[in-house]
Amino acid sequence: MTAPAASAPSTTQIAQVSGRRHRGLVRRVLDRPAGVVSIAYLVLLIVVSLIGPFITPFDPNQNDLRGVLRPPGLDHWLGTDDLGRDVLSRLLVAGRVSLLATAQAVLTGLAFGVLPGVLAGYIGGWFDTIVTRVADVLLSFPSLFLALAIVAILGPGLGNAMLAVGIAYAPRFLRIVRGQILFVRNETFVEAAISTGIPRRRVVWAHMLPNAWPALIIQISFMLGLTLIIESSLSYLGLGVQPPNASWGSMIGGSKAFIEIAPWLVLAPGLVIFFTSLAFNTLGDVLRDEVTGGRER
Amino acid sequence: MTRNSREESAAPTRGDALLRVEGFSLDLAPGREYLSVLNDIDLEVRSGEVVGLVGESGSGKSTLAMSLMGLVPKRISRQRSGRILFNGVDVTALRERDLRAIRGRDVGMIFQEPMTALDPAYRVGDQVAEVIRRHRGVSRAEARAQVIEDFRLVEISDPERRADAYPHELSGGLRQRVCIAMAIACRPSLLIADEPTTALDVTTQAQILELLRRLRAEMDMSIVLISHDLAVIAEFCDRVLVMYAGQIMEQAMIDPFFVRPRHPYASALLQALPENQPPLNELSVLPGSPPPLGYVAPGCRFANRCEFAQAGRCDTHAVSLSPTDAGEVRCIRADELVLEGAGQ
Amino acid sequence: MSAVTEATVESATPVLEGVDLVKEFAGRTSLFGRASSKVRAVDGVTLRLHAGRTLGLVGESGSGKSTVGRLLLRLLDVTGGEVHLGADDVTRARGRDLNQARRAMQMVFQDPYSSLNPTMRIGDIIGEPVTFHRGLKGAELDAEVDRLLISVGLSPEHARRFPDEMSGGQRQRVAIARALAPDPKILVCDEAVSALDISIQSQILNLLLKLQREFGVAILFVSHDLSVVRHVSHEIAVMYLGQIVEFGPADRVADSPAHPYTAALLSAVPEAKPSHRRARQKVVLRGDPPSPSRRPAGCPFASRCPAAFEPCHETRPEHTPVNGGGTAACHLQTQGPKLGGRSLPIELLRARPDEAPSAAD
Repeated sequence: MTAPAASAPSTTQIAQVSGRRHRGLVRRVLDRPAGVVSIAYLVLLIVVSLIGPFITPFDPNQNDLRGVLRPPGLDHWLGTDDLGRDVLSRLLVAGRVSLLATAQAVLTGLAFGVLPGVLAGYIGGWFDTIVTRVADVLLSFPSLFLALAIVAILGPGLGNAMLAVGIAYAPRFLRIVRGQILFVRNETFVEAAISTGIPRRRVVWAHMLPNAWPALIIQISFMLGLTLIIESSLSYLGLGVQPPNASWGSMIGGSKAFIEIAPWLVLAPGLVIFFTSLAFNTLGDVLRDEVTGGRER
Repeated sequence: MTRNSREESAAPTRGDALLRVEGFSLDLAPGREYLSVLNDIDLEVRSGEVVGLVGESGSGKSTLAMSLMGLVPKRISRQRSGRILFNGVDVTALRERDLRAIRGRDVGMIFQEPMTALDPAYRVGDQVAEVIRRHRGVSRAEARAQVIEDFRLVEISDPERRADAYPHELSGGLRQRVCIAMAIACRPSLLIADEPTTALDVTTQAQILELLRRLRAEMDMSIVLISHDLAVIAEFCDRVLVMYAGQIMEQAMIDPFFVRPRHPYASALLQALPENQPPLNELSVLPGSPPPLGYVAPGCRFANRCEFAQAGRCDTHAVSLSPTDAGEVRCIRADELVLEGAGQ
Repeated sequence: MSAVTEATVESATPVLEGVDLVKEFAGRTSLFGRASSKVRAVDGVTLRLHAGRTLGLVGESGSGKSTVGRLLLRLLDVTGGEVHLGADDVTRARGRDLNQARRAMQMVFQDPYSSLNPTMRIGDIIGEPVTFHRGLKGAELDAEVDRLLISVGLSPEHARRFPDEMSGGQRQRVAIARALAPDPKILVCDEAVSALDISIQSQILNLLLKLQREFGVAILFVSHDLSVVRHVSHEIAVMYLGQIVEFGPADRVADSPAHPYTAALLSAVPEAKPSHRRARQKVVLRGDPPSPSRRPAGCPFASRCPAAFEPCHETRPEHTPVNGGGTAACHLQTQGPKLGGRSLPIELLRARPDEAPSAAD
């Protein structure tokens, strides 16, 4: 397992460059081979996940007890599982579940992190002190551990699990946004915007927040990779998606007993998780290089 | 004032060329591509002379100042032609180690922002002492005594206490005095001052210029002063070089230059000064913006902004410097034009 | 302390007025967040802006001149004193009221590279205040942005550009267009030409003069550069250590200063004209201004003043009228040589050999 959070850039590193122009970021990312490959892979994955349920060769939940644990072959390209279900079909459907869950977690994190982060950075004072203290406490728990605790309270289920992961992430987004807002708060163009007499709300959303976007996008990319792995871990533990539905993680979890006689059951979802997480992290690296001008390498 | 005897014998007498730049052209690569930043620069600084280098942003004046002592990183630069002779030695052919020996010992340098020239982590006295020890090989105590003496020389009051201060504990004016003390510690024959007063208040600027004037007389130093401020140049220098788009456009003695400039660009700059128009009246304006770094043109580089430019004459052939009464000018119409200056 | 009197200015009511403004900043805070000392950056400044006229505010770094501009525009809250916009007291205006008040008073900043949002297009930068204050949208808004661009010497196609695609001079024109967008009565220019090349500086100064003629805006021109201030101003106020030490018609202040600091400042300005260089009497001040946190009891300039005598170190001088208009706050006017409104003879500023002040603190 990679440790994406550790390689995520610090707020200050990005703060130094937030004033820099970041228009054309997408084009510059696409100029890099690593950027093109990871984006192409992710786009393909998203498309396949969207149309997945319509192109499955078999019904993913259809048991076939006469054909269990078949190795990959012409009929079943990726073989069948212990209940005789087509692994490829399940993988396609599970991808949608996994990706949606991942997106849900990150969106939850943004929803709980961005606004308090903006307000903490902008208002400052006691509000900032309280918000950052709470965030620091939450950050001191490992994300997975925190998510487990929240699931224990809310009960198992993918929705609850991802809500939990999102809440666990919120402090990270909060810190990044707060740092960026603090950084641009003293920029002359913000003072200039205030001096024109436009409402404060607009100063914050139109002038300050856009300068936090590059840092936020990088963090989102790393977080997507990390969530995918946490989702897999929770589902593997049986705390995420509930049978008969599948996510990539639960596919591994459900097949662990057969790993010696049917390794493809673990290998197929495992590789997909690995490559997807790698793609998100690579994209994050490329974005960070482009935003910071590659100064950290 | 113990200068190395080898230098002593090589040092020219007053009036000879101490520094001579001949046909120097330099390309810089701030991004991916090389840009022509300095083009065919000829200049001469005589012993004991104060030469001003004036130009707007992107004119190449700071690059030229840095080139004089080989401070332009080789990694991003490419010399196309010419040489820079200091005491008869071609600086452009020297290795970094030899250059380092010249810098600080024979040539002192001061910059616009004294804070960047000083290390915030060390006491200012120790920083000046280190320069002295490196070039002179004297003992710690001797170096310290020299620092105190030099601080007195640059009119820092209470020098013992100030020598123990850290840079951030000093005002901008005092920091610049420390930098000057460091620059003159080895009694250089040439001082290169790049916008030394631009970051300072006007009363502090007057103090620093007064100090430099005194040091120059006492130590018989030559000074190259780089500035965007024509009035500072006028007050301080014997001779002025006007740069535009990487070229020297005019070179002249100070008084004739300010009364009767020979280049239309120089004239336009002088007339744009607010003090040359009655208050609240419109200022005379040079249209357009200074050209970007690396700007080249088939003819005169100033032609597209020049009110005297003639199509077919000024914009076709490169113009070279031609002699005038007070110096040189790079304008083919120089003899036909009678230009306004800053007034008598 | 009513420093500046109406003496020189027509009876017309000022469009913007700062009365006895005081601003204190918390000094360095200790580890546990307690402020160790307060720094009084502005100390009892009164000034008035009139329609169609420019007040030049000169001073060196730390004089508080930029802070005064920000207090007037309510970008900083006052510690004491009042700000009047026409007949309204806007000293404590907040929220919507403050934004409405700001429509009338706009600012142009020093550095055109940092005062424009790098992520916004020029058209949006200028259009934003137009939309908010004047409610224009769509084609009307576009037309107004074009008109503003043209009025500052740019062309409508610049609207689609980003700030980093423009030169320093063009950016400062954009900043001026943005300031003009709400149709203000007052413009505060904070070192608005200091970062520009000479040729660009004269273009921008001409633009400001033209805009004032056309729209009759009142301008507060804050700068350290006396020759520029003199060129654009009708009146000049000179600040030192948070106080106005001299005020008056621009010609009078620049040609026959009544305060020693003004005289020293004028003599420190470098001169391009050879004849002026030779004719000028030099007063080279010793030392730097004292720190605003250690404020002297008497005249703020006493520690550096070549003509200082006993009362200067003990009591703060009041502003007294000066012949030719304006006022000066200097004990020499009322005691010692009792100048009584005459300008300052330069001989008084020759440093006396017995008390050569030490360099710099």
